[in-house]
Amino acid sequence: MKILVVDDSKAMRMIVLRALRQSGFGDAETIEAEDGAQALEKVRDEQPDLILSDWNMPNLTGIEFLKELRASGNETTFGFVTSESTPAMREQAIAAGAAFLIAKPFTPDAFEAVLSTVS
Amino acid sequence: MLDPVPIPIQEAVRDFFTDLLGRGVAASKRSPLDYEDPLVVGRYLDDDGELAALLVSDIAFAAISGAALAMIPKVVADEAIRLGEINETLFDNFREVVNVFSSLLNAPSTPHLVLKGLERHPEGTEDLRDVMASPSRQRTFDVTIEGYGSGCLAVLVR
Repeated sequence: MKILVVDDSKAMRMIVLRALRQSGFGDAETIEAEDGAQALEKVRDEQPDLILSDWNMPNLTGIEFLKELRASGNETTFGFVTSESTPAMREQAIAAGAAFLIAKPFTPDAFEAVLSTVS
Repeated sequence: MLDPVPIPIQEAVRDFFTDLLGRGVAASKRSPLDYEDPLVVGRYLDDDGELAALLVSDIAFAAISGAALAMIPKVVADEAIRLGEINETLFDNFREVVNVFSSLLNAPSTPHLVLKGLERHPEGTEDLRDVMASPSRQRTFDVTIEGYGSGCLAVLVR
């Protein structure tokens, strides 16, 4: 399994990668991107099986990234990992094609519970 | 009519940092910080672009939380505290801490706040000085992070 982690904070990417290891995804191959624009390139080049993306990022936000992805016909499972998780954002995320939204900060258990529903 | 910006209690602060840092954290209320000491200040704006709340941290808390976030060795945080200045890596990590902390300042019935800037030793614009001098509400916490030490942070609401 190949997982793309997208966040403009290097520290937060590290935390997500650690949570993945603690959630039973230690064998997965992981790749990283710093924003939505870079993530689109990584998707094209690396064809991940799962995408975990922050929402607020420079260049291309997470929701813009997701919309461009779906507009191009790519249906890779996509989840947000973000500090903002209002009901309106959740609605917007699901409408755009996201499978889930994990709010920061998260516990490894919460992370695993969500990922177990999509893996 | 929106409710006032919420200020977290110490249990919420403890649980937040425990989840974020993945290690033991203790938090307790304390008297306000001395704003003459070196500080790091995060500004939260509402949807109208108005300053609504501040997170004010001493150098110690910015250093230890910034280090713990990315599991940077404690010695790096200790050096920052000794110098009274945090390096770029710790500062960037602390920005992420303050950014995620906004989740404690938002609720469905309250103004939507987002982090719009983090400053070291801010000289202060008028609105920042006003809030720091006379916040409508504030809470200050001593926070201890397992393996890293202690520092102080305050939440001030305009």
